[in-house]
Amino acid sequence: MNKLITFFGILSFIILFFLAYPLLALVLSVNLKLLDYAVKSPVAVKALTLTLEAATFSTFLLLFLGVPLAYILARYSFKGKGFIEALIDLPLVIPHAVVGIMLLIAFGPRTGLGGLLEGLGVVLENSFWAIVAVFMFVGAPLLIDCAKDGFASVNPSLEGVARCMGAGPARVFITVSLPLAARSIFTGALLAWARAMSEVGALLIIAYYPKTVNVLVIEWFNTYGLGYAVALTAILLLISITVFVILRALLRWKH
Amino acid sequence: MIVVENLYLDLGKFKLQGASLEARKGEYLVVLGPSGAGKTLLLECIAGLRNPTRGCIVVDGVDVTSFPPEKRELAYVPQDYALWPHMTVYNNIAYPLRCRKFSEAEIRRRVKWVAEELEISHLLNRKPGTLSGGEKQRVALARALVWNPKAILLDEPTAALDPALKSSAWKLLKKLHSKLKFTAIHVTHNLAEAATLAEKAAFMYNGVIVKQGRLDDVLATPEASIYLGDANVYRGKVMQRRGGETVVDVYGTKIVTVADAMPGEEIVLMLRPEDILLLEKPASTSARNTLKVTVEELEPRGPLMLVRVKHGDLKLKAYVTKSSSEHLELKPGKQLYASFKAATVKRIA
Repeated sequence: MNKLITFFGILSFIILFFLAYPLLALVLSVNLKLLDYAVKSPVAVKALTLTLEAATFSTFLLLFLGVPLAYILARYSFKGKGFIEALIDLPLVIPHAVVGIMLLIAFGPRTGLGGLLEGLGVVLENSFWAIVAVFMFVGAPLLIDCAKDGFASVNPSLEGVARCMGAGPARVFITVSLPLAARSIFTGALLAWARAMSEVGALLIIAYYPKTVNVLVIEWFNTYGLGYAVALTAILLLISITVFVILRALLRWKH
Repeated sequence: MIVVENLYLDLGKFKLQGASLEARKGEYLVVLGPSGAGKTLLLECIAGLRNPTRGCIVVDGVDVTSFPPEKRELAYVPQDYALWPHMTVYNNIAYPLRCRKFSEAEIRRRVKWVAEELEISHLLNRKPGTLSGGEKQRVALARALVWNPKAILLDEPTAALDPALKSSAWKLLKKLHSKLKFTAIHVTHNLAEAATLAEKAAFMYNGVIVKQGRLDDVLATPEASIYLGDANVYRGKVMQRRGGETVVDVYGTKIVTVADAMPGEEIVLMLRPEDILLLEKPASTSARNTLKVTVEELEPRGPLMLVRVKHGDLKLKAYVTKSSSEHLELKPGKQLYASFKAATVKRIA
């Protein structure tokens, strides 16, 4: 048993090193002068702000649209449920560039549906909305699956008794189901937000402009070289990790 | 008053196959039956949590079969109590009042009242996860009683408690019912629990209520005998305790037992059919109980004969061998004497 644990320990060290060392390498290779340039660059600040806004907005939209679906999937059995569940998980396996192309040919302004959306002021190409669409598409499986697991873990008798005590379905959902699944929903939202912050492949196809920070990293890498890209990446990494740590701590505190 | 007529529902392992019962206003009805008989399914249908495929449920003269649970005014206490873990005990109890838009002052007054009744005032700020099984049960009862529903549906409410707590929970339910006079439908597989609480009993078997009425009548059904055996179970009131003997009034008959109990206390007694001696004439023996009885029915039980006899309102089941039955020339209407020792009359609750 001890030999087995030692062997597992060695394997664990390798994978942990593989995960941690790139972070350390990035931090160690940051040029402070270039970091200062990146922090003060209006283009970088604008890209960063846009990315944060779009990631947060898409997460809230996903919460609004995805949580009801998650509740239905957790509580009811119906024909075609397996197909819907597979459909939700599909974005996890589709290459990022393909996601961009799919969204462009489905909702782009030159398509029928895209034309209708354009009439409503929602242009899904090289716009804030296109970024939001990409972020929602890639984040949906994470949020919906977590929320579904959260609702499934709520004992149905807690909801049933609330109905018997005089609460209608909406009141039961708001006062019983939602608070009890909140931790899972919050975790799902956090993962979806983090996934959005890291997306770039689909954005290169459907929303190169306005530039999000990941697109700008690639642009600086191609135009100015690795040093500038590292400086911008370090800022993005710092913000992502800070938000992630704060939200995780908040989650633990609430629990 | 709750009338359930001919309910059908098939969930595979559990089913209702024409279940019917009736609980009058203020009555404590206990539905007894083995696991898998469909007791919980029956309660869930009455509560509105499941829709029967056939049959109807009438509450105070209104057919509520198609009503959602929140429109039925029936409080449901499931086996696991289903206290909402994210709310304090106060908020759990206040929940049904808030659903009915009571003022906060009225909610405070009612929660205080019910918390005092159930002796849980000190728990109001606690979360359910920090409570013991007995405390959870009290909170679940408080939540069910606080809004004065038309009936309370109790699903094995003491199943999760250890034996010592069970008996105090029965006493609590009995005390609350005699004080508040609520209508209750209580399902259980525990005979002692049924005997302690039932004003009326029903036996459920294979999705059907096979009999409802007085507990001993219910226990006399063949289905109940298969599950519970032929034991005589009675609830009685202790008349006096003297010299190590306790005299208990059971349906107007004085039964002597050695069970320890206080005068005025209601207790549940059990007498095995093999401990009853049937005699043609009263004999001078050490047995402290000798009753003049009339044979009502004879039922073969393998090598034995089950003899149902009656003394006033008290019904007894006794075993005799087939040769004794022939020797005594037993037949319905024959008068005999039933004799049993005080030590054979056991207190079970």
